[in-house]
Amino acid sequence: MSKSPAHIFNENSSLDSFKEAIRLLNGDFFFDTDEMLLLGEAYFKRYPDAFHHRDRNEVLMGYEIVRICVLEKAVSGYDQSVKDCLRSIVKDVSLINRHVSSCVKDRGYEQAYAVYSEIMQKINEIKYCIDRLPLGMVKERFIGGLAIFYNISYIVNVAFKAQKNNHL
Amino acid sequence: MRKKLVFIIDDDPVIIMTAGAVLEAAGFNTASALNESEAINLINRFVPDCVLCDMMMESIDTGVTIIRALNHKHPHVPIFLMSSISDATEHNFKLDELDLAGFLKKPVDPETMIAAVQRSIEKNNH
Repeated sequence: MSKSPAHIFNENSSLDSFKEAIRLLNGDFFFDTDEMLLLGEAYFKRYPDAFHHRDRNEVLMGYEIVRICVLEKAVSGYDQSVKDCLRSIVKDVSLINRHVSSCVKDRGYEQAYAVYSEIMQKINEIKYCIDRLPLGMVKERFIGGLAIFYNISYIVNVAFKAQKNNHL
Repeated sequence: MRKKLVFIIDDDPVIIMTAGAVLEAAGFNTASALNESEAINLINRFVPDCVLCDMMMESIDTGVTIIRALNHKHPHVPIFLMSSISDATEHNFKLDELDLAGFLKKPVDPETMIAAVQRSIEKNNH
């Protein structure tokens, strides 16, 4: 199977099949600035942007494509429970407290927090590549897709602080 | 004391969900709208203490249209425009003609967002 998200996007007509194909790679796909640009170009070739009356579903799909790649890259190398946890909190942030509590119970605070820190380090590395994209709509989709991970990180950090206070 | 109400306008429900959760964790109430008409209608009914407005929605400059309307109807409400800086500069949206409390560059750092909202509300109350 190709390790290029752009190729995978071109080979898959639906978001679900793209997500499935990316997940099957377990994070072993290219995602540097050049590859992001190729993915963005493939996306805009299929869904050209407009100044007025933009197709909201197509715009949101662009963000979702980015989120799928960022998430799968960030959780690569972790066991299934970490992957499932992150995939579920991206869909519903109200689950964060429950998942952090469960993670701390299973792994201990230090190890659970280390996993969170490592994942955020990977996301920061992805942001570094996004920052190097040229100004324009491809960069806009990547920034829009990435933005939620920083909000989620903030809430996860708040949940970890609460766990730490509970154990003091 | 009543929690301050922050209104988030963005066509991406995931941004609304996550930014709303950040602000609620910081002690604010939040409300939201996914498009221009919903935003104007709701803000006219429930005037918020602060507004965070995305730039690109139905059109690439929808945020500017919304902010112009809110500046006219609710001149005391602080408004932040959220966007990738490139959108604004590339298309020359004359942002200097808007009455903005500030500009939040995406991806918006949550701590920066909370601090900006708190400062604007405090400033408005003095």
